Amino acid sequence: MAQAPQTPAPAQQTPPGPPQTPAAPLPTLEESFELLKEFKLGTDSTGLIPIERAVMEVHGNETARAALEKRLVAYLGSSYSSLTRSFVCRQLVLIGSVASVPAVSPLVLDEELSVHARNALERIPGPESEKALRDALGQAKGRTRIGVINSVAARRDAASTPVLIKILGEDPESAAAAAKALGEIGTPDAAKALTAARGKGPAPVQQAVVDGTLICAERLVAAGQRSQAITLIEGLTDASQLEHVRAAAKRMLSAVTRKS
Amino acid sequence: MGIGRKNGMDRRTLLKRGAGLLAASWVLPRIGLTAASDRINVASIGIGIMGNGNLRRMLSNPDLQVVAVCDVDEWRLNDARDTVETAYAAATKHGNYKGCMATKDFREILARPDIDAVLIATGDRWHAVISTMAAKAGKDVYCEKPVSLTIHESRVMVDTFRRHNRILQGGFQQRSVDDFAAARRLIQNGKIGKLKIIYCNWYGTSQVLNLPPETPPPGLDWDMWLGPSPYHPFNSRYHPVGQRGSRTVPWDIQRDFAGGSITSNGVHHLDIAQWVMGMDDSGPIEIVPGTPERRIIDYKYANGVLVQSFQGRLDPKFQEIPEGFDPATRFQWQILFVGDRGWIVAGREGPLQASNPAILADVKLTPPEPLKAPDAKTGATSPQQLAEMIYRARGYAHHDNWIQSIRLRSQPVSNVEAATRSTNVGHLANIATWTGRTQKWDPIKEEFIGDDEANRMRQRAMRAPWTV
Repeated sequence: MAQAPQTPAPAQQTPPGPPQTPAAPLPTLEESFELLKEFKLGTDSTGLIPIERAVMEVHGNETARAALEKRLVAYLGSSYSSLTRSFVCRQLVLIGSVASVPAVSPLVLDEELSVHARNALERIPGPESEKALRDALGQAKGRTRIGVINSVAARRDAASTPVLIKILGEDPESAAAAAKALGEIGTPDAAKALTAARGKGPAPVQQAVVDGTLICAERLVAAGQRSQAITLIEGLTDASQLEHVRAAAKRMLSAVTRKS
Repeated sequence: MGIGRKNGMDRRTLLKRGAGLLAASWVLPRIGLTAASDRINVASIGIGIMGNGNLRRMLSNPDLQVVAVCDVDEWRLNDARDTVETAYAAATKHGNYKGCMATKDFREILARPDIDAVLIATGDRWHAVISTMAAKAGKDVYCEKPVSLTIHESRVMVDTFRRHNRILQGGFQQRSVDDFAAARRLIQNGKIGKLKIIYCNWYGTSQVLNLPPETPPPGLDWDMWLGPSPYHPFNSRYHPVGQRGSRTVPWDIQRDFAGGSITSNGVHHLDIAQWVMGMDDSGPIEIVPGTPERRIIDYKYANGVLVQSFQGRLDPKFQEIPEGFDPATRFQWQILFVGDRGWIVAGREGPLQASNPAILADVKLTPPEPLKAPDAKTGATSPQQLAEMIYRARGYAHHDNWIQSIRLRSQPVSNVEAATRSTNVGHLANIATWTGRTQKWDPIKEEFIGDDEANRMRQRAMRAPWTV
């Protein structure tokens, strides 16, 4: 048994977080929108608190929400800084609707803003935001596209399946993301694609295919497609799989067959 | 390292296969008697203040062999590797040991089949990502609290660990401290009557800050530090340069990285409240945020119990001070449980207290009160100091509980469901605070009732390529 060096003195505990109300008086909402025009790295963000509060205050008032959304969207143009646009996306995450989709969609392809735009589109209900992400899937490159794949997975957009299947044969990082996304989509078509991808590609892709397969099987069971799920899981019980994968598949198989 | 065999099956295979296979033949080794071949190979990911404390506990645990360390800061990484190799060298005859892998990329650790388990003490932003990736790679996990950054991450963690039959112990080590466990037993046995209120210290949230850019120190991989978070430029307030810093979680001020004091500290006590009430798979049904005048968060539970997060002293304007309780008491790491027939205080800084000594009649108090002379074993000069020493020592018990669970394939005291649910109470507090209104919560569906904005806060997109 090794002798560990002396345990360090207890760390200083975290003090309470920032006060909810800053000491200096806040600007008005109009002044806050003026500040938003020039929002840059290092600018004190407390000046934007009135906008954040306004976003929360439109709760339950559709007319006010739509008006504030429209006002915010006007700051998504390319003349504004990335920080201004990311701040606006953060607000649209909360109150964005289909009306925001056309202005938010191009930002998905902007490496710096992509995560903020995806966050907003993931949260905005309706087929328009799903289509925007699906369209971006065909245009984005590299890591930006991987982020889009993850967003498509979050929305479980079955219409993206053909593109994801194609990506399964591409670079390992993209292929792994596509395998996970197909699992989340969890349709028979996705199951077929995951079965075809089994045993191909480097270890990280294989692990993603296995994980996607297990998730897909759960989705199929939840959708009442038990026999497809059983076929899918049975493929993970053979000796070519890692021990813990075989064990997971057998457990799942046992649970599913017990219920059927 | 060799792999021991028991009844024809090697130890690592047993760990991978999981429950059911173990019951007949596996005998839990006693501390201090573990053969090298039966040690669990672990890696430590994230070596800040909490990671360093956990690492040192693991190094002195004969059931574990630390085979790898990971941090995105080269200074911390080298420091951690030196700590491991110095500790193990001291235990060898020749005084030399060079067996600890050091990497800035945790994926190299997860790819090693000889590593059985990982201890994750990164920033909160990474917890769910690394935990779920570890589970998929067949590793068991000890994850510091809060174990997630969002409610969605919590649910994915539960699903992933169940799917892969991996074990997660949350870093809610108060569950392994005698006094908290004794308080739970007493309350569940009705010693203070019907439980009414649980007062929990710690209050405060995080903000979306826009700190100015600074030059990252050489050797720090800032992109990996940020990981799944939206981009922020390096600032030394988030990450002290060339040191561990004096604050445990300096980044918890930034909402993209963490949820502030309520999730950094507050969830420790909220976790005990959930545990005491038997709510490990549930949560509150209503959350009332604080205001500038009333800095108290209310959590109302379906069993009628009110839990409150606050800071410092009870405020008689808004809080009921139970009979016999000193209103000047400044809370830090204590919890006050109030029932209709008395009260109990459990904490890290002192022995259990109660409204009536008879409530504690069956409890062996640690430390004994009063402490009139320096404690012979530890040199502590006050009951508080001794209690703090005992508390820190009990951190080992939480690790032991994790190790036992790994060996037996049983659920630890802070299992994935309990750890995520307790973490979620902190998230619920923050969402109520950020929306600025009372939230009704359905703990079964894990949905806010009638509040679309709050529901949209349950999940966040991650910076590519990361996901859960």
